[in-house]
Amino acid sequence: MENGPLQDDKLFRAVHDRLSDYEAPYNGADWDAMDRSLDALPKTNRFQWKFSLNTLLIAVGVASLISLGVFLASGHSAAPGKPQAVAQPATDNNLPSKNTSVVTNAPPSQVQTVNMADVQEVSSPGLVTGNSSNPSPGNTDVVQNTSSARKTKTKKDSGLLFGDQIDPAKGFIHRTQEDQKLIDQYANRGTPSVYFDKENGQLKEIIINRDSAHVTGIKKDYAPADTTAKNTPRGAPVETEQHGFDFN
Amino acid sequence: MNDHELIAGCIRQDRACQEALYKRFYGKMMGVCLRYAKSRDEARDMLQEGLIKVFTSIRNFQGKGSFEGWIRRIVVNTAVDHLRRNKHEYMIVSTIYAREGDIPDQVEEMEEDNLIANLSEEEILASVQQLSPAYRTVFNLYVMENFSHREIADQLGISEGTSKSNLSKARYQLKKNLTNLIKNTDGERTFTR
Repeated sequence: MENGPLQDDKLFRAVHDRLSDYEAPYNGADWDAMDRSLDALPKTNRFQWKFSLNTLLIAVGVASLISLGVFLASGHSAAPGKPQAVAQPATDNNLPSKNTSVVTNAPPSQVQTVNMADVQEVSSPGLVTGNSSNPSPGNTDVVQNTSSARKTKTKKDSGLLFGDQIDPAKGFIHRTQEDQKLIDQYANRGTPSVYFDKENGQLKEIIINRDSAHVTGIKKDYAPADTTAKNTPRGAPVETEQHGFDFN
Repeated sequence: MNDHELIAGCIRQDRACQEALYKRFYGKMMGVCLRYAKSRDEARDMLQEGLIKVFTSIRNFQGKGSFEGWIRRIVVNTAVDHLRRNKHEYMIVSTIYAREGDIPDQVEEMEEDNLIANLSEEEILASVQQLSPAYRTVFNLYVMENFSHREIADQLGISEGTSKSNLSKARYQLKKNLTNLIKNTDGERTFTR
């Protein structure tokens, strides 16, 4: 008895002495209940840690393999002599965000950046004009489509993304990643409608005016990309420099 | 099997070692729980809960102090928690008993140290179980576990004054229970003769 008052309490002391060493008789049924309770308990923490550690190691291993695979794949594609993606600054400062980097199988020297904003559809081959100072050989009248008439559906309509792989004379000179049906479609047309502008180093879709001798005007839906025509309302007829065209 | 082997086996969750530990400490720990509980069923629930805690945390036993003392502390804390969880019942019954305890009763004056001399442990235990949960808990912590009133107050979330009051009333009620038990026992013995 450590409590002071209890030392003076005979009743408490007597009860303490009688009950402190009391042992209840053993009952086997109680162990059966305990046995069932122990069965219901989850396994030890050690096992759980071991399991968790194994799972963690496997997860780390899988992640490492995936990372390695991605790294090797990216390194393979970036190897010398392999197709590369080269992004060049836009030539038209008004449209920096519309440059499109094109991945091709062509040698690096031929890889160019296509400003998709400059690649336009001309629905009528007869209505052509442009500000290109370098018409294609063969006295072909060409038009570089205007910035005011930019349409992003060019890609959808022409379907060709790799114009640099097309030689004006030979047609497709490099294997492209285009859909084979599309390649066949353009290849079977004879003279391709997409050319590489060697003068300014830009890849542009240049529409051949198959009826250049009878050009009578500019298609009204398109305005030239010339800076002098920036303020021209969309769709309005614009007079541009003549490049051998005969405007009425 | 010594304590070290027993502990090692229980850490491995060896069911034979667990059963051996259960059998070894069942009597004493059940005796502890019987003092805190109002019935044997409640005592068994307290014991099962306490020994489950022992088995699941036996890895934490650092060997400081006796193994039996470590188990006893867990079982006592489990019993107190068990009573605390049933605080609603605990408080209501406590109030009823408190009113009864406030009423002075003519308890026959006897030599207190000789009062329980002729009683068995089970009879004394039954008298303790007749106390209200509040009185019984304070009695057990103060008399049997040697807690101070400050420690009891902290453990039960009551004031020291309440602890002292409950102990005083527990003493009065226990003496009354024991006296009645002795009277009945003597009467039966006299009648038997």
